[in-house]
This record gives sequence, C-alpha cells and structure tokens, in this order.
Amino acid sequence: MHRMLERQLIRARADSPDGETDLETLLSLVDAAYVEFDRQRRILAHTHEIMREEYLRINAGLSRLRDAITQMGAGFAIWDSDDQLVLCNGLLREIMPENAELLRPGITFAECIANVGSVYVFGGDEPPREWVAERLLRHRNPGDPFEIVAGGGRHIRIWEAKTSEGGIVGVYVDITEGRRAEGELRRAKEAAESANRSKSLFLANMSHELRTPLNAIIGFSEIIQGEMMGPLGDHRYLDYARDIHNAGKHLLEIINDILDMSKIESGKFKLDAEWTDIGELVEGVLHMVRARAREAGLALHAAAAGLPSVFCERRVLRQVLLNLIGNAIKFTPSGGRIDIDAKMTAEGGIMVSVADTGIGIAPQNIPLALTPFGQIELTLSRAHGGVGLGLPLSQRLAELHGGRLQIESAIGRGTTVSVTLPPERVGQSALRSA
Amino acid sequence: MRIEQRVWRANTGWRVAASDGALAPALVLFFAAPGTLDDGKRFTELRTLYPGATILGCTTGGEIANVDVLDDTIVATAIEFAHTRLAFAEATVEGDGGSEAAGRRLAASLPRAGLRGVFVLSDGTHVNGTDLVAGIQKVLGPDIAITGGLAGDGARFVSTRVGLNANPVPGRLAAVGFYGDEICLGFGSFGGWDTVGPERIITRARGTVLYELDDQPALALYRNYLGPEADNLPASALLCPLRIHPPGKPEAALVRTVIGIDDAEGAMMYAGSVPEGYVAQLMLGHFENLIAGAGRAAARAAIPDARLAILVSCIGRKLLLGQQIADEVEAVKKVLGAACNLTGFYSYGEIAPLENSPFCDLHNQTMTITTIAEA
Repeated sequence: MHRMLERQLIRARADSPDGETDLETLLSLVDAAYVEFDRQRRILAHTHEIMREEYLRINAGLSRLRDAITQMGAGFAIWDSDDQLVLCNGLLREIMPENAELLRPGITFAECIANVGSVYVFGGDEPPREWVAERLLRHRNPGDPFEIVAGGGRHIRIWEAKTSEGGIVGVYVDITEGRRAEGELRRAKEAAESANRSKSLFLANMSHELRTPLNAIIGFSEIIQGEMMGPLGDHRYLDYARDIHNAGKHLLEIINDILDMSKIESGKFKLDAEWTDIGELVEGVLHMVRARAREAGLALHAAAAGLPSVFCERRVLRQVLLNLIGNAIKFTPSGGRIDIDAKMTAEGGIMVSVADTGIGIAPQNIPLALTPFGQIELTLSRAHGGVGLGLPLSQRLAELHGGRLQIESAIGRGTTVSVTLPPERVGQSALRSA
Repeated sequence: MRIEQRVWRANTGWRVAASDGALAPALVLFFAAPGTLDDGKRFTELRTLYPGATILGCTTGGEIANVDVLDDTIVATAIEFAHTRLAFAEATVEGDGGSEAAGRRLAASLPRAGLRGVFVLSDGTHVNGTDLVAGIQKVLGPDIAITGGLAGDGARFVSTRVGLNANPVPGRLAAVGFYGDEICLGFGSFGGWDTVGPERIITRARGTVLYELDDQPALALYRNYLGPEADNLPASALLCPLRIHPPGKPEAALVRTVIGIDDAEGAMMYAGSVPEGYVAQLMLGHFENLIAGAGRAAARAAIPDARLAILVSCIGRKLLLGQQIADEVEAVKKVLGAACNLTGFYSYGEIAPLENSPFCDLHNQTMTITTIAEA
C-alpha cells in the first residue's frame, strides 16, 4: 500500500468516534490527493516552462557579453580565484600570436606569464625569477595600469582589477603604434625647437651685421646734413641727406625690434629693472613724439603725474610707449586726438593706456595684430608702413614685467591699448631708489 | 521529563495520542487550526485538563502530532520537567514599526539568571519578524538561543492569534524561557528550496514591502513565475520564496516569504525585511529536496536523549506538497528517533539562530526544529 493511502486510512480511523474507518473522511482525503496531483503536475509543467524562459534570457545576455568581449578593441581575459584562465578574446591572442595556442581556459597565469616572458621579453630565454615574481605580484595585487615592453619594441599596456569572486579581469592593449607616434611627435617638436633656435641665432647675427654698416649710414648722413665739412650747395643734397638719415634710423628701429623679439623668443632677454618715475618717462616720450603728432595734425594729451614709482627697465617701457604712440599717430587721420593716461588699478598695479580716435581694428583681427608680422597679413603695412612687430613686441615686453597688454577697439571708433604692470612692481610712494 | 499529547477533532473531541502516564505538567503547548478557538471552549477544556500548567499556544496553517500533519484540529502537548524551571512573558505589538519595541518588552520581562533558551510565538500577519527577533536579541544578547515561529491562519493570511494562559488573540507575542543546568536545547533550520533564474537587484523596497526587482514590478515577475497559480495570490506566492543576500555576501542569505500583495502598487509584502540593494533570486520547490531539507534540519537539531521536538515548518512547504507534507515530518522523525515526540505547526515565519553565527533571525520556507532534553 502506498504510504499516502496508509496515512489516509489512519486519519479516517482517527476521525471516527468509534475507531472504525470513516469512509467519508477517507474519500475526501483521496479525492483531495488527486486534485493535489493535478495541481502539482501543472505547477511542475509551468516550472519547466519558466526555467526554459530564464535559460533563454540568461543565454541571450551571455551571448551579448561574449560578443562584446570578442568585438572590443582590446585584449581581454578573466582569471578565476585559482588564477586559471576562464576566457579570453581573440584580440589577446592577436596581441601575443606566439602564445595564441597557450591561451586556453584552464591555464594558470603563472604558466602563461613564464611563457610570455620567455617569448616576448627575453628572446626565447627563461625569464629571470625576479621578473616573473614582480609580474605575478602585480597581477595578484592589481593597481594602476602599467606597461610592459615586449620583444621587437612592442609596448603592451595592462590594466587588471580584482573581481568579486577573487579572480582577476584584465584588459591588454598593444600601444606600440601610439608610442611610435608619440616618439615621432617628440622628435618633430625637438627639430622645430632646434630650427627656431637657429632662426633666432641667425636673426641676432644678421641684426648685428646689419647694424654696423647702418651706423655708418646714419652717422655720415648726419654729418652731411649738418654740413660739418662745408656747405653742400644745392639744397636738394640737404633733403637727400635728411631722407637717408631718417630711413637709416627707421631701419635701425626695425632691426632692434627684430633683435628684441628673437631674444625674447630664444629666452635670452634679461630685464635690467630700476625704480622709474612713470610721469617723467611719459614726459620724455611726449617730447620725442610731439613734433610727429603735430605734423600729422593730431592733438596729443597726457595725464601721468603723481603716481608711485615702478620697478621696470626704463628703456623697455619707453620703447613700448613709443611703439603704442607711434601706432596711434600712424593709424589716426589728421584732426584726431591721442590721449595718454597713466593710473593705479584697483589691484594696486599701474596701467598706462594710449587711446586714439583712429581707424580702429575689427575685434576678430586683434589676435592677428598681436602675432609677429601679423600686420602684414592685415595688409595695413602697404598703406601705413611698418613690419607689424610693434604690438607683439610690446606685449612680450609687458609680459616680461609680469604685466599684460590689452587692446580695445572698434572699426572707425579708435583704439585703446593698455599696458598694465602688476602691484609687485609698484613702489609705496611717488619715487624710491632701487 | 514526561510528556502527554492530546489531539482535538470536531468528531471526537480530545483524545490522548501519546502519554508517559499521569503527570503534573508545568507547560502545555498547543497549536490550533483557525476557527477551532472561536468559541473559547477548547481553551477552557485545556485549562480543566491541566489546571496547574501554564498554557501557551497559537493558530496555525496545519498542526503536527508526532508523524501526522493535521488540519482542523488542536494538538496540545503537556510537558512535566524534572528539574528545569520556566518563566513566561507576553507583549502586544502596537502599530506599524512596533515589532522591535514589542520584542524588547517581551525579552525584558524574562529574568536573565540561568536563562538557557527562549521559545517565542508571535502574531504572523501584523509583525515584522526580523524586527521582532532583533528586539528580543538586543535585550538577551547573542548567547541565548531564540527559536519559535509566527502564528498561521491556514492559507488565508487574515488573522493570526497567540495566547498565554488565555484564549489566543491577534497582535500578541508570548514566550517561554527555559532555566537551569539540566535543560538541553538543540535547534536546526533548513529550507531545501532551489534558486532558479538570474540574480536580480532589489531596486525599490521599503521595510517588508518589495516594489521592484531590476526596476521591474515585483508582482509581475511573481505572476509570470506562478503561471496558473497566480489566481491564488497571495497564498500561491509561497510556492516562490525569495532568497535575498547583501551584495557580495551570499553566505548571509535569507529566504523571505510573501504574506500579502498590493495589486494597485504592484508590490509584495513579506514576513521580514527586504532591504533595497540586496541581491534577490526566486526559488522553486523540488519535492525530494524539500523533504531532504527537513531531514537536514533534524540532523542539526539532534541532541542526545531528546524527548520532544517542536517543529515549526513553513506553510509554503505544505501548500506545495499537499498531503505529501507528512513525508517531511517522517524524515524528521527518522533522524530524531522513536523516543522523541514531535509537535509543532505550519507557520508564517520561523525563528532560529543563523547558521555559523551567534545571531538569530527570521527564516521563511524552512523546517525549523527545537529539540528538548533534560539531563
């Protein structure tokens, strides 16, 4: 008799007051059992169906992951908690073609690395024990990505991390190409820097070579102009001599600018700073440009008195102001006005600005105006003369003082160029000695 | 230690099922089918049968009398101890979130000196079993083993009752503490359910209410797993227990069972906490594994000369196995031996120490056994 029927009989007897088998109880228990069996069969069938659905879902997820690992642009491997290879992708085998046969599930990392070391790093020899130990230690205690240099100058970048089951997941990228490109780039940069240094040296030498004969031209034209050896007779000789003298001086300025620029670019420009009274400096510069401004029909105004002294190279600052005012005269039509203003900034620095009512610069052209020889590209030089070194040189000179040069301008509205020197270059009182 | 076991049936009234002869019991444990206690007469009869005993009991999802699993009966087991002293406590669960406080009040009324173990019965539908056990253990500390279970209401999940020296009422907890050096207690708990399908993350839950697994409504997933049984929710959700564990800590896994559903929210209500961020996996039952699981619980609970084993098994197991559920009780009997009398009930949650841990917790879907012997 089935154990269940035995139990049902026991219960049918227990349920009866007289100890006889209670048929009604027995039948209801047997009937209930049949109903239960039907229900359990349905549950089992559905369970089977659910398991199949879940299997398909999990399998689809697994296929997707496997596909992603196959397609990813790097070598990939998972090592289990016993450090045995669980899976790796084809790219890892491509990165290490000599080990492709070896990279099968079940191989330990230690076996693998001994072989990789031999084939890749040590040209067929057994790798040194320390090398293997170091690599194993790094593998088991993964941290930041690192690189190994394999045979044939191949670079492999390795990123490894612990998995939650205590294994290791690794991504291996052959970065040989990247490393080679980096090398080429570095060599190209070095060549360019070297060429630039040669250029600066060439310019310095050329400037020196040009200045020597120029000094003769300027000096002798001045002597002729002064008729020191007696009268020249025809007044046209006097005019020619003045033209030679002016042209010579202009040429000398250009050569000096080029020389300064190349010194700055080659890092050889040394500031010779001293405490300087800005008011005096501006006064001196005005003295030099007033005649040119008057000839150009421009009104020249300056406000630069009562300021503290500034620790700067006087010659340089003067050159900057001459450049800025020279530009203002050059680019302002007759009848215009030039204002030179020196004042303290809110931060405690000193700002000297030169504002004109001239033709102005379009905002998009301001960066070009600050590029050496940029003026040439702006096609202004043909109309106005000059090589376009004044503004970039002034900017570099301001920067050498820790300051900055700013341009505000609009076409037809004039230009304001400001040179700001930082607070650390500004003295406490109106004038102090260095 | 001497025992007498009686079974009450509507047709027969109280009948002695096992007896060590005339005895003066200190404790009567009774487990009653829902409905059998409504008129209060059965409790009065018990009081008359055992006038000197403290009577502790609850409603069930099925009663266990030795190797029989019964329905619509009351199983009462009277126990006379030779040396062991007992103390009793009861408390009422007040409002939501009151489970831990009730557990603490219950434990605080048990004297600590010489306490060796506590058997707890609790309301099974208005209690967070996890919080309840935590509350008790906060007071008693990890050295005292706490076992017991949550009362049942057949497969209805409406009203469950517990009583100490009174006809059982809803919302009540009651406990007996065992004292002295002569008492020997064993315990074991085992499920035997099989996880199926992928691990999912609990993405939305609050307390004992689960809203979403992997951002999908939990109820929809259950409906899919249950198929034709979905019409019998929430009872049929017992066919699919939920195994949960903290992320990365599968060894700390617990099994949770459903005690209610919220169709509007697509949510499931459990007998214990289902913390957000935990890993969850659905389980299905396989008859042989469940029956073998009961045997494993017995092997863990086995102690020398055990005279009584209190079986607290989950209603979900009975729901799946039907009349074959008696197989699991026979499996327990086979391990514990003929001299050990069995009683117990089918519950809405089992309480036992965690394996390899000093802490106790609420279990679901397990066979949980407390064995008692006196030296």
